[in-house]
Amino acid sequence: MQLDSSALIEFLEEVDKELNRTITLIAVGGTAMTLLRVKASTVDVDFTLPGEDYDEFQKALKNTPHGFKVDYWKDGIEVGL
Amino acid sequence: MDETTFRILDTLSRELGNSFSINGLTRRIKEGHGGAYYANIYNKIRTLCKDGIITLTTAGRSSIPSLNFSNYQLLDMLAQIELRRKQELLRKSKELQMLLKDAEERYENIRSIESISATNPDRNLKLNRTELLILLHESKGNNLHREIIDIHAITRDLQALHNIKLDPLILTADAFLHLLTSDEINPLREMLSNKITFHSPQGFWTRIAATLARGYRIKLLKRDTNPSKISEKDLIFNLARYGYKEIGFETWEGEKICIEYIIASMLMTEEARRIDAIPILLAKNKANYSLLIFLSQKYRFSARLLGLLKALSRIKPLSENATGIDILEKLGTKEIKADEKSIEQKMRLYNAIR
Repeated sequence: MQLDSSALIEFLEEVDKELNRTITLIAVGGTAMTLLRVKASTVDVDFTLPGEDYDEFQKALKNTPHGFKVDYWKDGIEVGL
Repeated sequence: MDETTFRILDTLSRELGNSFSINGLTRRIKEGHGGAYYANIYNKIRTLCKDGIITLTTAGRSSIPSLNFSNYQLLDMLAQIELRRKQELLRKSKELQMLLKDAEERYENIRSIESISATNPDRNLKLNRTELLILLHESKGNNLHREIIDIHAITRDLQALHNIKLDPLILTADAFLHLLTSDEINPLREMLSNKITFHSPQGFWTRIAATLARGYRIKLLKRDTNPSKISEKDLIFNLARYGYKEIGFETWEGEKICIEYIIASMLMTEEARRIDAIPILLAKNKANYSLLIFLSQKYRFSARLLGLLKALSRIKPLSENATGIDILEKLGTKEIKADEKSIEQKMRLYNAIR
């Protein structure tokens, strides 16, 4: 499914509801370009995040049933889908 | 149907079994639809009451409106409301329009399907998923299992074709009745306050009317339980209700929660001690495997569930368990093996086997 910037933001808002604290999430590749409106849409949803925020994000994502393909990296190293 | 009638009936149908005054109804309409004036609502309720669509009962100084399901016309009006909800949803998403059209065509050959609803559609749309509540006419029969497998297969095809996650909850007539009239918190009672019946709404509302006519009480819940957030107090209370009293924990009265949510909660917290207790619960109680599979797909713990069901089937074979395994395997679930030896010891300790 092609996601435009508003669909990405809506998805992140839903994940945000499951977070217990503020975390840093860095969009990368097509996700970043779509959020910056450089690109119209993206299929993959890719993030990297600092190690200390990884578990919190993973838990929030698990608690948000979704149908997207989300890849994320801990300190730039791929660890989860 | 005029706008005020729509808003009144829409709100009352989402709140089945919950009593509130006309003032309370006005407040709820304002929350759900953005605008409501007490005088308009009051006058319209009087008219609907005169037409036999709504009944008014007196409680103290308040009048409590409720839908009059013995009025045949009401079922048509509720079906009309479903169609309007569907139109409004489809206007928001072209993709969903294609999906529902395709779904109706493909499910058409499954004769046992009575109605299909999309639950919590707005939120799920944002998450690229759809939850389907598929109600079946029958409860038993030789072809039933085959048809349930076929529904899952069609759903998987639709999911691949439309690039959207589809989680179907398939309920037989008996299972629907049991969950709907239960006093426990369960997904069905939560789903029905926010759903759109896009396939055979008349069939859906006829079933509700028939349930009420048989004297059952229905009380929908306006919440969406996330199993991983069930409190420790409620978890321990319910585990004790289902025959698993944890050593070292005191049991306090908590909310009654269905066994399927409790099992989901234990699987999502990923504590080995609790996961090993799941076969005890399944051996001692009657769980709805269709609901369990739905939750396992929704929260992605099917692999672990399959491992537990397989371990249980070797220790204590149960027919419902075998059906659950068959469906999970047909869904292509890859098993995470459970520690059978530890499970067997625990089951013996808790008298789930001799």
